[in-house]
Amino acid sequence: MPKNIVIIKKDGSVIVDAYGYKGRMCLKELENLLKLLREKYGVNVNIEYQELKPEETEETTEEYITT
Amino acid sequence: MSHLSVCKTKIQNPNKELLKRALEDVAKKIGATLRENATVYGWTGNERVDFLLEKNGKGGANGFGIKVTPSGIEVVGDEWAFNYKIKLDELSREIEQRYTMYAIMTAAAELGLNISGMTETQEGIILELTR
Repeated sequence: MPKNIVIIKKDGSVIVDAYGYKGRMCLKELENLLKLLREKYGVNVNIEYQELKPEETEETTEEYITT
Repeated sequence: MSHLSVCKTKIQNPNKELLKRALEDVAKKIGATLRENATVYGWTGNERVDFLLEKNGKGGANGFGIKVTPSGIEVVGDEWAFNYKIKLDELSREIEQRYTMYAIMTAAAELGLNISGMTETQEGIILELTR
């Protein structure tokens, strides 16, 4: 089940730890969330650091399906 | 795939309803009353504000004012109002943190995410969003 752990700190930083998504859906989810925050709620979010964490089993499954 | 992202936020043109909810939380925390469209009084003068965190009790500075400006949320007032126990900049950060929390919760719900958990810790406010 896709999950996002979001930590909102007092210094204005927000940490998003997403896992359980297939492919790049996690990034799409974040993009949609940031867009809505900016356009509708006036929260401008600047990504200062991002690390992608491919999940071994999901990648293996995808490779198996394509071959 | 999953990711870890570290972001910096800046609030501009906040949603007034969400801001009010954030201020209600802060008012409760500091033992103040939230008022709208009020005047904040201090040693150096007074000013009209969109929201006022009014201290309980009479005399002197009456609390902290919050102004919604094109550049964001501005907190004004005399720290004497709460006997210098609450600093303006700390209060400002707390208001922005709570506003950001409500904004993320509302935006997440609109995108079909469930808020499956919410905890407040020393580190910050932790939200668990699931699909």
